[in-house]
Amino acid sequence: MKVCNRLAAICLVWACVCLAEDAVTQPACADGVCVFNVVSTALIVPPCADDSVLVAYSQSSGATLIQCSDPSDPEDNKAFVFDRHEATSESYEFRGGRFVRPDYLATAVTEGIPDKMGAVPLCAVKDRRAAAAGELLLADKQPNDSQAAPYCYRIHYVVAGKGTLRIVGGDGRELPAIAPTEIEAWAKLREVLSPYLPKGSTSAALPTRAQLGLVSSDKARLFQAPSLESAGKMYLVKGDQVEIIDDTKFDAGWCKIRYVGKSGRPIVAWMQSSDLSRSQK
Amino acid sequence: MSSGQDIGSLNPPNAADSGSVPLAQAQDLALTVTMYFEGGNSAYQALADDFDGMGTSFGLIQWNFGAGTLGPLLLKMMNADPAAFAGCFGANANFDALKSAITAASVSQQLIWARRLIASNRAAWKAAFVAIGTNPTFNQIQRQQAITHYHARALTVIASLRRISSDLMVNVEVRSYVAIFDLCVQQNGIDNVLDSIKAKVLAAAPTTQLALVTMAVQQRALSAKAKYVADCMSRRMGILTGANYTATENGVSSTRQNPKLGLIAAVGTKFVEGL
Repeated sequence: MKVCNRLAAICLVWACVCLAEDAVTQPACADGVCVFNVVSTALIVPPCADDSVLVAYSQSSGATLIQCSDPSDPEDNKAFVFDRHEATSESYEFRGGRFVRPDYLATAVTEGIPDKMGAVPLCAVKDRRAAAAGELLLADKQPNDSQAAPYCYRIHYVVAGKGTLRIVGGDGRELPAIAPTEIEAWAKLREVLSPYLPKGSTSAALPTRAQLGLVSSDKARLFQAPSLESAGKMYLVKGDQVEIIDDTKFDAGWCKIRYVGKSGRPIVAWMQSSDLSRSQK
Repeated sequence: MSSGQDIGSLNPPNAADSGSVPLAQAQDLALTVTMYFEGGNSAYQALADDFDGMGTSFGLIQWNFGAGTLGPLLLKMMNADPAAFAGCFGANANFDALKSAITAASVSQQLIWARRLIASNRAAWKAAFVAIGTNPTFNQIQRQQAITHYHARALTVIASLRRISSDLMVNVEVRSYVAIFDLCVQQNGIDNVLDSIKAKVLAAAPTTQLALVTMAVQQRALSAKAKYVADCMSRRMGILTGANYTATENGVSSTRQNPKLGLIAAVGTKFVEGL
């Protein structure tokens, strides 16, 4: 039995790698900010269809950013910034800018920000403050009043407070939040990516009854969709703990789960309800 | 981030006695002029780590793993000279993993390779790209890839202008090509302003290619973000007039100087062969 369990675990680790390749990369974290790249085209939905999509999130707050880039026109990037913990918090749309890790700011001050035809310096500001750990940064390129450096990058800080989220420029000016109708345009993308964000994430589309579940069957097969035809090769074993992220089809025999293995890589898949026992979070 | 050698100087145009210049020469001229406008410090060895979540950015136009643009470039280099390419990677650079990742066109595996190597052996990661950036064959591939990337967009613009006025675009003048190339680098293309260009052409009935292309680049410039309009206008009009050009739009004035504009003067009205 122990041998079987070990084999199952090996299968799961192998399968994790395969699934992750099909969905998102493993989060790369530094200075309190994690980034993952969306690989599966199935997850890249409007308003970012056909784009390259990156997700960055703070480990110390709910600040989260979804950046969409058209590889053929990187200066037409658009980013959606929201608080994944607070559904009522302000959201923002940032166009023409790009995400930068907070730990790079000190380097950018001296070396500039790498750009398509060479590094571009930061725009001059008085008393530029350092980025705090866990603080997301956005860089916005603009013409500069200098022949030697015709463009410069302006830095914006995503500042998370208690139940609030603001985007503040290096000059102290704040970006206006977007209207609910504009937020709606990002709802589907946010929904499909939410399962890959760390616990505590919320989304209007996620179930209100967030629950943990324990695998009750010896071998619980994972599915790509709530149908027997979509069975994958991987499975969980008895006692594995999962987060139930969609239980709207529970009574029909299915629930969508998120499982984080030892590698830290999240797996999102469907399971048969009969393979799970539920407990409130 | 690090940077290495400059991209080198442009070979002087040598078609003074003929009515046309080879496409490669026009492309070289276009890239040189645009690189200067963009800041002029690009380098074959320019290298950046995962500072923006793209794994690694490298080369003349900062191809990167995250957007899926660096893998194909490296694959092209590897196919051109497998031994030299492999030789750029030290024993600790996990070359086999990168080779598999770029051969399989797996963006996620490319990112994994880059992030792991940066974390575990940054020196090996940097040394590999410095070596690639000093190989003349690979640098030629970089330059050609950069030109091809933007040339494809320029062809789309030229095709659109031909649909608007085929008579004026039978041949493409060098100055038109360089201006269109520069527009494609900075603004991607003219698709979003085709209707306004058509309206302008209908109203003003241009009789020269210079007048037609001027209308096109000006309409595209006007559709840029407010703070960029004068900059776009100054760059393109500088190319088309062959001299520094002052533009003032939205309260912003811009005179983009570019010593490379002098290179256009000798050949600006000649035709680009093959277009």
